[in-house]
Amino acid sequence: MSDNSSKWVLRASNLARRYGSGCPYCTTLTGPDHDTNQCQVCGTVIACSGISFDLGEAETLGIVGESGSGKSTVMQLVNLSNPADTGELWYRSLGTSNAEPINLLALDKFARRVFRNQQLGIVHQRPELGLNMNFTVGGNVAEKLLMAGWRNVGQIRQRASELMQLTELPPSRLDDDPHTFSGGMLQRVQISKALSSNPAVLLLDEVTTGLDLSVQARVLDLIKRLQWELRIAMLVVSHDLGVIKQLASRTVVLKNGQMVEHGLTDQILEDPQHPYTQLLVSSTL
Amino acid sequence: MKQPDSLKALITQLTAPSEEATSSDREQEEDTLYNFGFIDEDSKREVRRKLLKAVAIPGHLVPFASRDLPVAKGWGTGGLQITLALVKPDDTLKVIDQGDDDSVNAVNLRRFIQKTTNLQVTTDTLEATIVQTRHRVPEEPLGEDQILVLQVPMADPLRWVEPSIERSTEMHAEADYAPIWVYMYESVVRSGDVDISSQYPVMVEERYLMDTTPAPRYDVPALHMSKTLYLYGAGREKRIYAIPPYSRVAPLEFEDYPFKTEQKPGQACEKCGSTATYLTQHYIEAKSVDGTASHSATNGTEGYWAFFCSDTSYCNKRKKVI
Amino acid sequence: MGYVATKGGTEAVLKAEQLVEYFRLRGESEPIRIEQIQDQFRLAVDRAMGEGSLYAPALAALALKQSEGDAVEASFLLRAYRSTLPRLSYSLPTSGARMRAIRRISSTFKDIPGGQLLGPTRDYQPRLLNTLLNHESSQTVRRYLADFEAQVRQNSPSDGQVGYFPKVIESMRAQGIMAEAEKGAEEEEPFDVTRKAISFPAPRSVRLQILTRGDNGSLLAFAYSSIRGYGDVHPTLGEMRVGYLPVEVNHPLTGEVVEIGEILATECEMVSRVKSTNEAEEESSPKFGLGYGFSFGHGEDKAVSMAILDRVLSASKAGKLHGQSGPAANEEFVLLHVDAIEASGFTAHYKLPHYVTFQADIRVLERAKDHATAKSAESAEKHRRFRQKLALPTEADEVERIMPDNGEDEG
Repeated sequence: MSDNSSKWVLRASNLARRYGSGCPYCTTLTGPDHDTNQCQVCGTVIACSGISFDLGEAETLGIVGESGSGKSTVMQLVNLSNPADTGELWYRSLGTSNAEPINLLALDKFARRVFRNQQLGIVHQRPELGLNMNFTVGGNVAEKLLMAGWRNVGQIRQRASELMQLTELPPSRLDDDPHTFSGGMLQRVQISKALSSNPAVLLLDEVTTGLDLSVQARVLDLIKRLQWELRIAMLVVSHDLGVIKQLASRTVVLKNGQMVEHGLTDQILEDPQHPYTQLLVSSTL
Repeated sequence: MKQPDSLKALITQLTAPSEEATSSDREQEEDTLYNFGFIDEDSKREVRRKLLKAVAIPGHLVPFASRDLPVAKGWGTGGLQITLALVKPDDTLKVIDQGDDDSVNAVNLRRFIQKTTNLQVTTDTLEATIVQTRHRVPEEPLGEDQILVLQVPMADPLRWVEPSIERSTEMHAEADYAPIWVYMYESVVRSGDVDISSQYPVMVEERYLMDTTPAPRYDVPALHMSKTLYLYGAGREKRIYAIPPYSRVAPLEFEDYPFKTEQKPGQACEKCGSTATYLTQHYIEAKSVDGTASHSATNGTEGYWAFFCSDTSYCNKRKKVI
Repeated sequence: MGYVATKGGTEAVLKAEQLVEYFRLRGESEPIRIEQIQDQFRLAVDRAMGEGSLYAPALAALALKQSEGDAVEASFLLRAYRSTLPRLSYSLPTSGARMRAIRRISSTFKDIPGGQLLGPTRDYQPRLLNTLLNHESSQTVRRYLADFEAQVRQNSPSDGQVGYFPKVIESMRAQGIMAEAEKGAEEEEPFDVTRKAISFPAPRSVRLQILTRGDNGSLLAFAYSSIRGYGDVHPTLGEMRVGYLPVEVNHPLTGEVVEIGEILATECEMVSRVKSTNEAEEESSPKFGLGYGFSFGHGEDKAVSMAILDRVLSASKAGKLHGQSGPAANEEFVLLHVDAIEASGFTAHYKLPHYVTFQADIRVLERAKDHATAKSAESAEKHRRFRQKLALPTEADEVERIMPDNGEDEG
């Protein structure tokens, strides 16, 4: 779907996730045309289906939709924390020139966890989902490093301090409790933790939702700076077209668990094709 | 099976009009009431099967049914079930608690085992075929023909970071041990070094995280490449695990905060002079003129704190040699 | 150097045993007969049998005598004894409908098929200490029994089927307001928690066994927590019955069903409305769910508590809207902590020597102390330099200013 298809790092193909027993009518009776994602026959909820996209090297892809559109489920599927019922999720390492793509959904549980730790970093809307509030900030940032086998406290603290600097946090607060941090700062701690393992893809799930506007703006500035400096691929999920506009070069629009539109963000904003996207755009701009 | 007869005997006794039981009746009751080793043979076989599984997967927690014993749960019922499932009439048994053969709990367990097996017992570590212990590994190195049975209260080292068994079982299966490492990191940050005093977590054969029971860190190196089979039983938690002979056992440590034992250089046992044993503190009452111990509160002479070997039989052996 | 002898553990243990016996007997009153305990401490015996997980009133009475009335100690003795018994046979499944009831009530409907039967209950008695019991004699007992029996003879119905009732839950099922139990699980051979290792998530038979063997007080506390505020299941007592249940086995040779005796038991069924998270299911057929409680002997608090907990845990495990909140909705939390023998054993194990581990704790404490001292010295130094840089008075000067020292010792 994009021109640089040869340069993708992550490729989702026909991902679907449902909750319930399922029946032959599920797929034909749900989706944007029926304005529901629940099957009227068997009651099964089709959280998402037919999700396909490429995430290019150093690219940021936005996923936008209202609550219940399935965007959080898509994020969970990509984060390998929620198993997809069908579809494939391909990953290609860009470090080595001739690396074969691997289907992440075919990996066993152990390999999935290792991959998630090493190659993915996720930032949640609610910090307590991404952080252990009983550990110090340093301990939280250290977690992925320890999982990857780092066994030197000095080196771990050095790395954690660098990450705090990178995310504009005072390294002097390395040993403080997360409770003493503000909402915006906690998002920076989450970003530090997510980046600690030098992941291939950073997943951002409504990271600025619920923050003050000024704080929101500064967190978005930080993410934009990281896009430039780290050249890391990002997947941004948000209900807010404003956030998507600032961060994502390309965007997927979800409704009732299905993709209704995808393309360059600017194009979607200027010339939305699907009536739902038109509604979305006109209500924000 | 003797039980049905003994049950009948007991019921008759209960319903008999005369409540007077002669002392000879009592002795008879002790002899016939219980199976060799108290628990029934089927249950013993279950324990032995689980032990085989535990030996086959070093450091892995194996669930077992865990029968009720006449000893309180949490007081050594796991170790006891292993011992009772393994002992043969020709075994020689040593039971210690805190390294001490004469500790009240060791006495109680030994009495129970003897009462139901009539086994030969010893305090000499080297004479025993099976040593059951709580909180200590004996000082004298054990051999290939000996078995060390350890009583375990908590069994799963992940309990510190994850209370749910369902979740921690999954973590063991996936070798997902990051949380315990964060716990270690946090303790370094908060208290300057890893502040785990006993029950130190180890990795067995680079695969399973294992609880070493509340033994001091001093005892941890004895587990690595040991000649002896180590069997661990947690009765209340219903888990068995093992370190087979010559297994690699590594305490969790950081490169810059290496694992240390609590040994203080230069400190010696005041009885046998040993500087290379685990010592515990004891208060020594001051003696009055007539030789009886007197309390410092009632007269001016103060008692004092002294360090002794916690392994009493080893200490006595050394004293005899000196 | 003289040391107090370290030998003496054995002697102390033996002497302690003698002392226990001495304290049990030193009142020199008439020794209690087992029969008396069995008859007159009926409910204590029932509780010991339940928690001891062994239906043997005579042994339970003996255990109570030996333990001087300590309920947990008595059930501990029974459990240990139970361990020595071979498993000769399994009884056949029975149903509460076959109970010859001495009491059966329901709070769902005033009139139920078969009617309410109050039976022997203290529920509606004012709890006043009865000083007349101070003067009870064999004569007063005999007189009471004679009077009571005469009264019964006068009013007794001739029907031999007295005491058998249809189940209230069955009539609710017939009305179509009860959710059906999951098929399959019902037919499975129950899991034997005393013979097999349990792991989580556990089947319902594990839950029911652990709960019925559980400590009365713990079940009561957990159930109470759930209905008082830390939970959202609002149950109603469908039916509770107390009475005699037949115990049947297959004859080992002929295979025929043989009744080998009966046991006194209490059974309770609690119902509660549980909203489904599945909207479609919720709209099509809202139902009541069932919680089951069972106790050896006459044990109403236990049966009711157990039924509440079973209901809460079923709802919680099915992922229903209700039953998610509160500690009592966590299966592991409830099942791993209700056993009196396990809980008291581990709680009491702190009385055991911990000399070795405490010594290790002291060493770690010393190290942490050194660390804290070093850290606070470091921060004091930083503070001092900061003050110096800003030319602020030193802390000592500050103290001097606030609390001037006149060079005199106070009073």
